[in-house]
Amino acid sequence: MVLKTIALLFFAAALMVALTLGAWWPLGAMLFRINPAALNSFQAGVQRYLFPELWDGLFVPLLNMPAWVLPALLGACFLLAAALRPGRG
Amino acid sequence: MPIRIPRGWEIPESRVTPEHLVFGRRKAMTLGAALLGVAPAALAQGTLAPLPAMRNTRYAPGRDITAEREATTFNNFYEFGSHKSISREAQRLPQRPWTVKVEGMVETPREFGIEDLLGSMPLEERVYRLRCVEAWSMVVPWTGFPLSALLDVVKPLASARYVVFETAAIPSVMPGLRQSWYPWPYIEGCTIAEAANELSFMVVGAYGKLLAPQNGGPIRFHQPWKYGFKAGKSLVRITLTDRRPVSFWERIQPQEYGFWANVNPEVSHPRWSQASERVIGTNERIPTRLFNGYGDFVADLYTGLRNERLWA
Repeated sequence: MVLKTIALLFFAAALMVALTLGAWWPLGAMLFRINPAALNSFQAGVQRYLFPELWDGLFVPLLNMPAWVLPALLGACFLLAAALRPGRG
Repeated sequence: MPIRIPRGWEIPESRVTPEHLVFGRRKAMTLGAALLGVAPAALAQGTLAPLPAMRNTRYAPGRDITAEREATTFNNFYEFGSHKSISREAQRLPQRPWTVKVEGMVETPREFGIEDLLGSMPLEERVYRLRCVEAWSMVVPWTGFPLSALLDVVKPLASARYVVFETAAIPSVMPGLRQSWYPWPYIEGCTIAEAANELSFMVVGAYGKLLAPQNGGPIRFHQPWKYGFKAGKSLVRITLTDRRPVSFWERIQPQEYGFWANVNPEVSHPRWSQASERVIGTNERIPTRLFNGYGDFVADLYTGLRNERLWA
């Protein structure tokens, strides 16, 4: 039940984000709007101290996805976890 | 009796090279390079053609010039990434054809081809100190011409108060532009008085060659008394306006990167001290100087300015 509740919360968050920002507003733009400095510092940290390729190959595509996709994916993960644990969800 | 103390760059008139010798030499060298076919061939191969120009000794940096290899492989160019190793990626930025529009509050808006600028502007070499806001520095022999020479051609209107510099935004070769949430294109600006200052320099070369793309080729701007992020690279548009521009970094982190951004060792960045700087190439740490040591040239620009954050 707990897992299903968390999943529902994520789905609700995804819906709210899509309704508020629009279906195609990128995740990066949403985070940038919330805190531009934090996203910029995160980018510098990844590119300068880890690997530039990690930023370009993983984070940029992720951040260019519509903002609602991430909470929706997390919701789906929790829903899947609940389904895999019958009777204990 | 008044005592006049000469400033660091002043020399007696008798030591000034006659104009016909300066321009005669430059024309001869440029013609020689053209006759040898050096420039087109070098551009085609991705190497940099020579760009000979007389060094202006008025701006002696007082420090050793940074090795060319260091200055061309340790670069800030956000369109290619936030790290320093963007030089290889930047080679994809086409350098020809290239034009720069100069427009806005001017009598004669113009679009200049880069070759026109190379052929018509009074090229000279100036060895300037470059101080990055990230507390490192270099000394680079730039080739270029005073911004005032370009403005003389387009004739700013009396109502123009600011000059805005816009960097190229070419998504197909600039991976940084995939970060669609940033306020591209990269915008920087200065006041018309700062633009008219003799130090304000349009750069088209470095180390005696055409300017490398990773350094902002084919044309960039440089004001050596300001932090390096104020210097727009790979410029495609210069606009004169009566409105103060909000620059790229000012939009992202206004508390850290302001409009003026004059170098001051006593005003720390919110996350680090600006008291000293790491010299690229030697890693020596040296004290930072007010206005990056160019106070004699520019301090007058800021007298009387109140309620302005001049140092960040």
